[in-house]
Amino acid sequence: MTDKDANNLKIGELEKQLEQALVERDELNRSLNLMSAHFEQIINAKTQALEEARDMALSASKAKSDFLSNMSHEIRTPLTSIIGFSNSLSDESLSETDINVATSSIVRNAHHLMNIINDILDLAKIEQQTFELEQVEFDLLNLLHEVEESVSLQAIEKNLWFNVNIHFPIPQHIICDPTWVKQVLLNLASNALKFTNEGGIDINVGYLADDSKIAIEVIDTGIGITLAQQKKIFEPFSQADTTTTRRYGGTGLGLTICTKLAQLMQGELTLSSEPGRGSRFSFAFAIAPVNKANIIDNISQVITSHDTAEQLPMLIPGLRGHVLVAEDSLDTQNLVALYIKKTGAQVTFVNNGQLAVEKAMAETFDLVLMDIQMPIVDGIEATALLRQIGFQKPIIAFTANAEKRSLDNALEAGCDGHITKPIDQSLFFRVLAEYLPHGDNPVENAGDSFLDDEEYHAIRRTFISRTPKIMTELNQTLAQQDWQHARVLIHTFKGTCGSLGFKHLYTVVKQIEQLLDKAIDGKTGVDIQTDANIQTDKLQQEIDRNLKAMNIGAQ
Amino acid sequence: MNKSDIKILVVDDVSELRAFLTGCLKQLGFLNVSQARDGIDAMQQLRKNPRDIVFLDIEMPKQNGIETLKEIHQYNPDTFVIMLSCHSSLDNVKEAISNGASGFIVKPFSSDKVKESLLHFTKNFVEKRHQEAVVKDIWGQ
Repeated sequence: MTDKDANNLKIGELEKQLEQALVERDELNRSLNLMSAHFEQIINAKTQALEEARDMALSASKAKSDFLSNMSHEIRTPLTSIIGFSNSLSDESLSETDINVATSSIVRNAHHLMNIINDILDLAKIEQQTFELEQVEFDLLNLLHEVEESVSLQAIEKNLWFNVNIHFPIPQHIICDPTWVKQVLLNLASNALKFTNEGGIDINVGYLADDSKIAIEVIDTGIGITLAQQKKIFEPFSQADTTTTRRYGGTGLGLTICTKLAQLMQGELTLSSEPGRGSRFSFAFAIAPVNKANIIDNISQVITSHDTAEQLPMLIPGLRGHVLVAEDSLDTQNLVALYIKKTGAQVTFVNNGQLAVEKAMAETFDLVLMDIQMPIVDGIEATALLRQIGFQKPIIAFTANAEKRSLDNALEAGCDGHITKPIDQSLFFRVLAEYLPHGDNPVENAGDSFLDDEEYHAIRRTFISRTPKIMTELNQTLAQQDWQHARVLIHTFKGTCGSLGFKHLYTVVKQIEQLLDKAIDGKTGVDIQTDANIQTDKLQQEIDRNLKAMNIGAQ
Repeated sequence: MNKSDIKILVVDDVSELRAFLTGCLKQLGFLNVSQARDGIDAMQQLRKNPRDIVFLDIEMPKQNGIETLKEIHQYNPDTFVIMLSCHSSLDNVKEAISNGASGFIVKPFSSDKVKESLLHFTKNFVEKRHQEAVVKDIWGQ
């Protein structure tokens, strides 16, 4: 073998080794790739799991903080009235009516507060591992009667029907836990009341002899619940959505408590509902077997009535000016009225954000107190809208939610400051004093600075001297029953009367406008022509009076 | 910018209201005020001579205020338009805003409301100028 051959052999061997190494490398690469894909899969799965866990934690934490925020609102609202009215009682200048309103508000709100706290405590109690239901004998009909008594009062106040229909035969005395059975019924009934504005509520009670169960249905003709919402509402702390809490109040705990109780009673709580038509909650619970002698067959129904709370009167003499208060709680309104009237300023209330915007634009106010949680349009949206259209007067957010986030939202929307409920009396007065004009003399129309201006008077005079001509035209269109044309005339006339400060004229013209609206809508039972003649006579008198006062001869 | 440099157009079909509003504006120191009796008249004037502020009545014959508002903004989107109306319903206000109105005054109104709307203009105007200056600073480098 030559050196060359030996070398060739060596090279061949090296080539083989190299080939082998390359194959091994490729294999290693392949397994490496497989492993890295595998790891990537694991990492992705872990990441996803972590993300899910994070989202769940965030969502749970959000639900919790939303709940706390709602709780804070729910607790502070009655507290505002209790503390505020209690403070006001030490004022010796209060009238008897004021004192009555104050004490009845304190009692009512204290009860409401107690209910909220009971709800929270109930849930905490039920969720404990050691919780056990009582097993005692009690009168089912008596319990239903108690429920009926307490619910029917509220139903009458809302102008709703409320019936408890007992399907006989039914055992009168049963063995179960009366406290919690009553609790579930009251919860379901008060929910039904809360979400029903028209129609009413039926409670059907029957006995399922085969299962030894009592079956109760609570049926309302309320707003109903969508399928998506139906899944959510049994979860703790969540109502159908957050706007529900704002519009209807409540803790969002009632159904959670009921579901847990139904399970503990070896029964169930189910729901069927159609949005816009109403809801039906079915609650069944097991009872101990009853003897036949206990099963009865008669009927009872009781309805009682109740008087609603009275309004506060209002006085005027320290601060001047006019405050617009947008607030949907009557109690808070009463309290604020009591405070503002002490300063001598005027106050106007509206119940929601929409009316707040409309009122603030149509009239002149020195200050707006804007509750944040209000129905229809909330305080934030109303404030933002007012600022968008150039409303420059101070707006103070008035809210039961003391969180910084709420305050930030309010300031961002255009509020100048913030008063938290319960209302601190001295702070409230400080805020009023900061934004309202000071002085002893009340001014009827603070916005009109043109009353002494010559040019202004000349314009008024020109307008009045032209009114007989307008009157002629108006009479013609009315005689022709051309309501549309008459309305156009009167509408323009009204705007000018108001802008130029002819208040009486404005009032009369406004009445005619309303009459014409009826005519245009084709309202039956209204003799437009006769009513129009009466109104235009009044208008003519008012025009004559103004012509005479300005010393203008009829043209 | 001086108050009297701000060009204002008052558009309303009622001469008394035009006179009243012009009077209010003059008393507040806004002297460059002209008038138009309807939307068509207003557009003719605005095409010749753009204004900073337009007070625009909604309920007008020939062409209503909302139509005119749209036309004004097609022609000059920077115009600060304050609507005048006898109706303060939220829907009307929202309609005006969605069509680009910057203000809304409900009739009947006092000079206070006019003052408020001018304050609103001043705040917005200054803010806008300020923003422009900042933007120029950044892009000018």
